[in-house]
Amino acid sequence: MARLRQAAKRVFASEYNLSQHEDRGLEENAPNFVITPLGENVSRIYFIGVMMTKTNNGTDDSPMYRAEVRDPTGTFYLYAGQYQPQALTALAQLEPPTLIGVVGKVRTYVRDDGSFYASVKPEVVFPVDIPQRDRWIISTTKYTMDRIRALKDAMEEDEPTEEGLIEKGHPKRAAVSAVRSVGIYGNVDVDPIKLSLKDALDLVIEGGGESIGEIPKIAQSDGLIKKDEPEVIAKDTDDGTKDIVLEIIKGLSGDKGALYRDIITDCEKKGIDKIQLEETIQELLDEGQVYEPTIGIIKPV
Amino acid sequence: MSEEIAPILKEIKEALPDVDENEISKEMDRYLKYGIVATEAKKAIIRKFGGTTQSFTSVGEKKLSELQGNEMNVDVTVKCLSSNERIQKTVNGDKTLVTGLVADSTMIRRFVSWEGHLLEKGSNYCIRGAQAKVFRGEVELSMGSYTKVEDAPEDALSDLDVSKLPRFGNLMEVLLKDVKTGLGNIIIRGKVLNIEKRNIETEKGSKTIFDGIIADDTKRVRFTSWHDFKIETGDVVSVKGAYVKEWRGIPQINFDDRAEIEKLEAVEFDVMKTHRLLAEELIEAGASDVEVAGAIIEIRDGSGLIFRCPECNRALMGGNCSIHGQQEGVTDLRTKVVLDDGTGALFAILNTEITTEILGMGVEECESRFNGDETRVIDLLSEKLLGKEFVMRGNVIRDDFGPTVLPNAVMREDDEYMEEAKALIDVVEVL
Repeated sequence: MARLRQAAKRVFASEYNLSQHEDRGLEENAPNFVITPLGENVSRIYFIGVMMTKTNNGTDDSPMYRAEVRDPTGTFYLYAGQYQPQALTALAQLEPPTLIGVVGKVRTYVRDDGSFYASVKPEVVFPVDIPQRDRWIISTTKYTMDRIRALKDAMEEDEPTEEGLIEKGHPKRAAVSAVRSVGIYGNVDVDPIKLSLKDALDLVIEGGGESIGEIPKIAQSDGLIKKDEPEVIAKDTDDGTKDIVLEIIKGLSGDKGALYRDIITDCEKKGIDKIQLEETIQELLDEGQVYEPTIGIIKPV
Repeated sequence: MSEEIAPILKEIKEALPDVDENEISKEMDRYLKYGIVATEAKKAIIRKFGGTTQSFTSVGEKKLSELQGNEMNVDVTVKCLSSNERIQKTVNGDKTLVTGLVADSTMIRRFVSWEGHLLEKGSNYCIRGAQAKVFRGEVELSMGSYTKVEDAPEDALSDLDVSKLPRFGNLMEVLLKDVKTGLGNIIIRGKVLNIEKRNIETEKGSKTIFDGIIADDTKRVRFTSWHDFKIETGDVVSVKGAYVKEWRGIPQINFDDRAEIEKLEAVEFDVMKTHRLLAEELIEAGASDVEVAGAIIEIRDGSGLIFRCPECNRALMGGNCSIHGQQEGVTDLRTKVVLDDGTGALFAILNTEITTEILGMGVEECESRFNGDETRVIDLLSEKLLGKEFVMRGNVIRDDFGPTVLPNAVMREDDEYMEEAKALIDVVEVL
């Protein structure tokens, strides 16, 4: 039997970001789960929020986007690389601020001091409208309330069991979460999550369900994207970069000049990528500040 | 002597009738002192005194109906009605488990073998040294390493007519929502929403069967009657002695001339309601004619403009049909999506009509408008579907990849939600 697709759990940022545990399956290709304080085991997540920032930490040819997406309770952190082609294509075309839906897999990071961070590897990203966000908030609120109710009952018992909680009227999935939470977290302060639910519902009511009108369109084919996108988004032409590159070339140059690949390495350390470097060197060549005695070697004048 | 040990000592004494009781007790104490569990000690002690576990006093040949569920060593002569092998994970690694049904002239019982006794369906056997146990309220025949299976003499079961035996299992009444594949002998009650006569070819020649849908307050389920009970559309009936098979992962009720049908007067069911299920309720088994709701969170490969084999209608892969090779494809439209409600993921395949409705254009307009650029059809589908909530009505089949909805209707979930949000705030306050 093939492994079944994991449900996309509805969890607010306020609950997700308080997670301190994960469950890495022992079997090969077993899904990885983040265990939230309310005990939900999240392998895949679905949320809607405002993309606040977007940065490309990769190159233009092989982008690696980091984005922050705010739901009414907190911020989700997204990291999308080459293995998430659909998400990459969509992120490339969307500019913050914009309201998006994100379906993604959990991603975890444990710092040396033991602190635990849960972020998201987006699989599918798409623009959404206010009514879609509101519906997501309402269903996520309901699932979260189920978890809170079951956990509160579970924490009142010495040895809570799934059967016992189901008998009390909790849905099975909430009973399972509650028992898991008690086993992993012990005592959980549910109040911050509870308060965040109110914030989320307030946003729905204040917004009045008004549509934001035209939402951005996404094209999946690569050809179309390249056409639609401006060639190079923001050419860094300020003299700062030029000075840094010139300094690096001077530093590397012996009698024969500096090797181009060494310049690339040193520039990358300073945060200047290949394309930027190429443009800057072209400018320096044009200005006559450097010359190219042989291919692959740059020498200051 | 503790209570758990006493019955085990009794078994040892039965196996070793010539050995002194006190000696057996003393032996047992020595094993227990070393931390050996009593059941393991039992085997060791019996072997030590020259007995074999087979020497548990045989109760001799019994009819299946005579078994109480506590016989340690019994012989039966039976016909195998079904036999299934599966791999069972145990603490000692994977074991082959064989289960099935056997019958003699008195009744049908389940058998289970942990030692890979491969009974063949339709063959008659003498099974010697089996154990009768009670499992989930039913007496079953358990075959271990000490059980011997031999072919039965030819005329041994000449008086057996399986079709006259009651169905396997304790008769129990179930609601239609609780009808699960494998249930053997159930009572159901419901209203027949439709029934159609159909002729099929069986090994024994042509047969007339009756297909239909029966519904109670909890669900609609397809049924097949293998006998003409003169049931008509609109009848409210109770069926005693039905069994459940599955078709594409959907449980279906079957019954034949052994069932008792009673037409019920003055009983009504609310059959108009289409029952909405959560995705998590469809993970184990499919369902017919139900409603599911959730957000579409992914458009899957194979959506949009596709090409079908003119011979068999299968979707072509790179111009090739998996059966008929390279083909000039017939263009079609369909959409494969993931519908997710937070409790589980359902695949759904939206047919040509539904896809046309979503796009607002059919196959031909799609082809001319997008000029063969299939990705633009996907872009339009994504724009219309992703992140939006839908209600789908239809059958949910269940295969190795999970549940798949085959909807005959797809609707946007667009109820007013502002009142619900306000009501929820009040609930959150008192949470």
